[in-house]
Amino acid sequence: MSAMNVIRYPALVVLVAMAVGATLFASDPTEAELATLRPPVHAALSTTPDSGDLWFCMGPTVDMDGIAERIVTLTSISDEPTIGRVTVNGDKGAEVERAFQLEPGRSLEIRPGPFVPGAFYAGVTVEVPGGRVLVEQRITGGGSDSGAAPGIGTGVDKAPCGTITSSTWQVPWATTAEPGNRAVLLVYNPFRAPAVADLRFIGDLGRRETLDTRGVVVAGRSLSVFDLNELIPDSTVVSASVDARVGQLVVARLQVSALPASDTGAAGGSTGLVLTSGLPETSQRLFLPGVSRESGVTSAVIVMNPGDEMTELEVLVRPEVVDNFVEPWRVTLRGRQRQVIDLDSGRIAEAGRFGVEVRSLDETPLAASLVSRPEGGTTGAGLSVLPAVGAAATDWMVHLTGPADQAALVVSNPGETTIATVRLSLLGAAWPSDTPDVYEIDPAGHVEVELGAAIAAEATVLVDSTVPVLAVMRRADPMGRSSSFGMAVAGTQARP
Amino acid sequence: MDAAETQGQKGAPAPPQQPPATPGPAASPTPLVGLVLVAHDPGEWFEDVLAGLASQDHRLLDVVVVDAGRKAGLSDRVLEVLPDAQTVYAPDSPGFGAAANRAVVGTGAEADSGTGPNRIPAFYLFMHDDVVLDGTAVRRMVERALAANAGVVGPKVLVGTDGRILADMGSSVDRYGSPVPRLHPGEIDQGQYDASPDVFAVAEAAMLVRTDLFAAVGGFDPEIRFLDGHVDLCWRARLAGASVTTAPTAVGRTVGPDSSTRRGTNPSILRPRHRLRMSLTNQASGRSAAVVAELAVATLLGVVYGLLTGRFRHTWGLLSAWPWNLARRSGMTRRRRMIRENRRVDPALVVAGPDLPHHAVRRAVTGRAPYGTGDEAPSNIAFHHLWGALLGPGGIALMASAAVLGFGSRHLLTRGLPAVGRFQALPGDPMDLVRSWWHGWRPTGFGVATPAPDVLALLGLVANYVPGGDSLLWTSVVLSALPIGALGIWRLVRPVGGGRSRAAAVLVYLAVPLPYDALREGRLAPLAVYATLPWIAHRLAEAQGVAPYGHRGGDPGPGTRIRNMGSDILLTGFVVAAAIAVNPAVVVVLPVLVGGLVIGSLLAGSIAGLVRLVAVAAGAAVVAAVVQLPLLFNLFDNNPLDSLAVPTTWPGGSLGTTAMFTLDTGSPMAGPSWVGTFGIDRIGWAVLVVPVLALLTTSGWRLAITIRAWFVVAGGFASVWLTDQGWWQGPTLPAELLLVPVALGLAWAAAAAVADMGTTVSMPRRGPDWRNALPAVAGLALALTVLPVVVGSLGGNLGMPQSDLPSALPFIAEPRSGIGETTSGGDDRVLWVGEPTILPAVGVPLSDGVAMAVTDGRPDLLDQWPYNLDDAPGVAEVRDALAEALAGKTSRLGAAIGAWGVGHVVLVERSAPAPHEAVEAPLPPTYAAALTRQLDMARVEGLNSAVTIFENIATKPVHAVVRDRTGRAVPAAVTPLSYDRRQVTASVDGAYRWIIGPEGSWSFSVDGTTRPLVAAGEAGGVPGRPSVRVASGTIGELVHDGASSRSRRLLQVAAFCSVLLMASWLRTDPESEWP
Repeated sequence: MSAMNVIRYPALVVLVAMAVGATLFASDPTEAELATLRPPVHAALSTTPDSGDLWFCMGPTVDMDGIAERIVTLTSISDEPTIGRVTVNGDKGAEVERAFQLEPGRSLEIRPGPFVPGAFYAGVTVEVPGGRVLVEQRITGGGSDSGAAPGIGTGVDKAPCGTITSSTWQVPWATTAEPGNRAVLLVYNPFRAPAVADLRFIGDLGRRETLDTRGVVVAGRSLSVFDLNELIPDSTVVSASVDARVGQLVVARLQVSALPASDTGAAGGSTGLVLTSGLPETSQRLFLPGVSRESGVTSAVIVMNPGDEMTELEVLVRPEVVDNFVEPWRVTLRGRQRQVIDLDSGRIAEAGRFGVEVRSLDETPLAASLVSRPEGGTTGAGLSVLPAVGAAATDWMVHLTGPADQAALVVSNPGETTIATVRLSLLGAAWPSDTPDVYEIDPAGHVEVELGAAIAAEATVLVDSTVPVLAVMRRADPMGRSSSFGMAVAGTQARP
Repeated sequence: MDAAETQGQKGAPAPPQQPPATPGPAASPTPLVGLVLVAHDPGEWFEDVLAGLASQDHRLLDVVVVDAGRKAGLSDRVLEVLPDAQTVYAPDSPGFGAAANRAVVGTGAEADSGTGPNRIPAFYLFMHDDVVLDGTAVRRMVERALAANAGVVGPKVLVGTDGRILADMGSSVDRYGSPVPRLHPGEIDQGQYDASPDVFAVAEAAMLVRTDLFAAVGGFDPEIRFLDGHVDLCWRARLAGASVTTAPTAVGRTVGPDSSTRRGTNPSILRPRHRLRMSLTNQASGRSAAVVAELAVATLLGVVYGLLTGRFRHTWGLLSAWPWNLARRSGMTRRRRMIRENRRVDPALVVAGPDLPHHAVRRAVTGRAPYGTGDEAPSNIAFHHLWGALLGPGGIALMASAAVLGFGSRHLLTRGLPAVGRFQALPGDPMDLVRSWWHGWRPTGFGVATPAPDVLALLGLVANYVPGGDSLLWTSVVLSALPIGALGIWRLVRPVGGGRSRAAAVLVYLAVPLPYDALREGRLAPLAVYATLPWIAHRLAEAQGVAPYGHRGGDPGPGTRIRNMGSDILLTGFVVAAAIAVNPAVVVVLPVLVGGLVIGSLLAGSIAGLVRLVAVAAGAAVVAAVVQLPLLFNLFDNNPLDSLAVPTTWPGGSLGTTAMFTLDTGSPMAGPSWVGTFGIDRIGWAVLVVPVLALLTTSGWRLAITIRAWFVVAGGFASVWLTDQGWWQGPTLPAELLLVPVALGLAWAAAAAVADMGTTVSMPRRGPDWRNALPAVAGLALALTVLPVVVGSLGGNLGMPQSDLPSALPFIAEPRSGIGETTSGGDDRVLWVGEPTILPAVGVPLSDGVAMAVTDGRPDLLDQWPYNLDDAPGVAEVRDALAEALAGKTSRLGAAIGAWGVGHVVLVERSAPAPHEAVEAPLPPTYAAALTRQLDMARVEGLNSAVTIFENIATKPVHAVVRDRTGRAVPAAVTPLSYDRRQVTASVDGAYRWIIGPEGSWSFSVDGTTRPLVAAGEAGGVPGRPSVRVASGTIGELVHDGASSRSRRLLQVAAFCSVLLMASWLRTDPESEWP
């Protein structure tokens, strides 16, 4: 080979070296991470000024018979003034919009009724661009001594307002059983654009879909009310599904029970009032923490298959004491069917306090609710409904506005493998020294903390966990009992 | 053969010969010939000329030598050879005609005395001092004159240095009096003109004229000093009824240097003067007027041509011809009278020649014209060359590629290019592209003052004036990147080898997947660079001048033109500027190209031409910068370099080495779902086979080319690899763009490989040799390389989707309101959010891999080029508002963006509607979720899954009058009067405000009076924006101030013209005009 052609070797060496280097030292592809939505919880609160919140509250006004009071409370946890806006929409079409400024640590109470005179129901939208405001709602029913109309029971419901809108909602439980029960479905469209929804019901006699519940137009910024007593009269259990073809909605069910004593066969009567948010999503695993067997209270889990396909599921009881094994309920549900699991059967007689998990065996999404109410033959107020959730969070806030000794905080670890280390604290105050503030919760276990008198009536409990947990506040009020999830800290939600 | 007829040895003048001792029998009296030889300081060859005269066998020959020069001693030289010759002096160098006339008059006066040798000749033979006549020439001319009864006879003139080549065989004249030689330069004497001796004008070197005719036509025109005097004389002779002919057996040979150079005359200057003078003198009156008028037009055109091409003497000749003739009009009148008195023939018949009219025009305008109409004509030869090239392997490859690509793009051509990515349609009025260029304003991003590439203006002009649909034009423009790039490669590798090597290069360049990937993804920049880079590479290769692109290291190859450095710099700069005008992103790959050539040259063991290469590259950069002054000004105006690049998404490592080495970029964000190379990407490695063979098998200068080409490849790969690794922190460019140098280098190396095979395979070898298998291997590799493209062509759309987003969004895809269309409040704006590549308009980055763009209604070509966010405060505000909505800080995004007139928000997740194949780039679900939670926006349902659309319920009109009391924005009636002018009619009292950027560049006037602006937030104004107080019913005009842009454009045009002019001047071929 001529000397002229030897010049190819340096070039060859350089090129081969470059090619080999590029191949050997090439980094692996970086999977583009798409930011995903956090799983929805009923209420998620922004605790930093970097993001804001939009709260939705629905319920009756005091113009409705048997409603003594409805207060929407805005509590600032910010260290600077908070500016926001409140919009009230009545079921008669009225709309009022007001701006507000909330000083640090202060509360603002809004009574929606006067904003929309003549309306029996009102939806309230609270916009808080800077976050750090707790929005809760308390509805108090008129007692028999308050001059309420017959059939309307005494009761109280206190829960955070929701921050979720969705195009599908499930309401597993309501009852229109005669006499003394009244149930309404509240469908709120807080947006400007009208929404179109299909409503489906499942009563004791099966599914009910009529033309007047298909393609229902919910005007922009309006609240539509559907009287379940009219639609599915005298049904022990009424389940409902709301599917929005267009737009996003917020759905809740108001249940008022005022069972006369004569009907209960007891000396007293069973009353209760509960406003329960619908379930904005279905899930293959649903959790109902903090169930306890109390005397005079009967509990049931209502499981619902909102899909069209048959499914198999099991209802698992997670006792606080692991040794107390309870055989799960195995249920087969056809499409758009629901089943009531009576927890008062002897199967869980020794379980003590426990949680419930509803698990699909064939990956079909489900919905479920826990209903607790005075047992037949007893007298008392206290209808409580807890919607099952499929998501948990590592950080929660639970706001107390009543006597603390009537409240119990239940923290549940829905995970199956990891122990949750949970630290409790108070916002702006010291945790009482006589109450443990750190708990380790086994997988599928839970802990119930009685909030004694050491905690002020007005306090915000912070729950900080190493793994996603569920936080439920159970309250026993002279007017009734209620239980509700706390407010998850936005950005900490996760699936167990 | 008569001894006198011997023409002597080829290449040398015939030696002087003695007259025959015994003259032949005289059938008739031998006519006396008066030979007038006009000498202008002749050189040493003059003795040969005189010897030729001395050797004439025509016995009655009176020789008069006219000394029209300035040097003394000519008479001695004459007497030394021709003792009987008479030498007369013509002082002041009067020119050939005047000198000859003087000699004739002088000899005639002496003849009247009737003594001595002074007799009245029957013929005059007028000769220049640079022709040597053969010994029989005079006799044969006389015999021819007598036999043909001709008035003027000329000899056959051969080139003295090569006796086979004809120098002059007479000429005709065209319509404007320009002589048209019968010969082609370098034509060999084969007796081809001997059979048709009659001509319009005989050869200039020597002409035999009958004495009475000479007297009748008034002799030579003394004002025509040189060059065309013989034509003028012959013209007048023909008008007088005499015939003009050539004696083919009378031979003369030219000697000495070029006569024009020796005499200090320039045909470019003289010929226009003579042409005009002859037309004024010799034509009939009516025809003369028409011809002169046409010459006036030709003069104008010729001046423009001369100025453009740098032929200033030609320009001066054309311009000076008119005053020159005007100053000599008296002589002209006399000659016209004389001609009229002796005219025997219709002048129209005299000038009617075989010349083609357009050749006459071309000759009058340019001073040059194609000669010949037969196979030997240069145009025909060039045509034959073209056919030869087209029917060779390279041409067949080109034509086959054109057929495959034409077949493969048939649906695109017939149905239009889908509006994917940057391939959005032209504006409703294509001239908006020109206006945008001129005014420096575009409606995108609420109105920005950042200019778009210059080529858009050209496209708008073409679309406006060329009949046919804009869609077809735009499709053709986009698809033309493929043939333009292929042609550029064809030219680049032309010097490297023959047709097969060109074929290999073209096939490799056309078969790489990157242009098709760019098409599918709707990327303009890679296609623009793909089309232009080979032309730049060709310029740089010629600038370096290494063989075969120049003399360094070998002989230049075919098609190579050697230029001076100035010409190289200007031309290269011009090509680079043109490429930047198509897409500024080309500047990114130029360093790769230059660096590859430099490093490759060094590793090839030679520094030859490197300094010149770098100097030309640097100079070209300066020239390109001058031509692209507005772009430069923009950069100086604090616009970052990023603003020139269309943003794209390139997750680290997403491309990978396999895709990089096979040049199959696919879609980085599409992931594994993307099928590259028309679905047969497994054979993508075949594209490397032939270039690798080049590296292994070539030798000599082809090896040097291969190494240079491979380092261009390496540079391209390195840039892609660095970006793919995430090491590049600047604006991310598409992988296809960075890979264009790779494609170029591979094609270049492939050409060298095939050219080398063509030479080495033909070499005899003993026994089997592995090199014999190379052509088969290369052929198979090339076949595999082109196979995917051939298969891909079956679909008819080159893998592009069959539909586009505008077809899925008819209700928000309405074009902007046109001139005269009145709208209430102006056009609604659309906010587009998605991966930057698939957005139908160029946007600004919003978050990682997501961008947003704002358009007025349907996006079009005006929305496809980036702008600086600082110049678009509205876009910045909207981006901030969107970011707040995404963070959950606001639930009233509609109000925030509605303040800027945004009526719809469109989340784009596919480049084309489902179910068509498209690039998919799903947005994080937080986007839809955040927008869904906005209280003043409504999701529009029932649309294609490619998009999610939200209608803004809280939008405000772009043009509105804000009431004082309520603050409500009432839409104003807006009618566009022109691109930068709108008529606004206020319907209520209040403050008129407009939401069009850039702020401060629009003014509102009523009846020609500009209304004062009320600053934002001031009493009587509007919060956040300046406004103007108006009353209900006020009709005013909102006018954009684009004076600055227009000034810059004028400057750019001037710079462009200057560079073009200088490039033209410097590339002008200095060869003298023909004849």
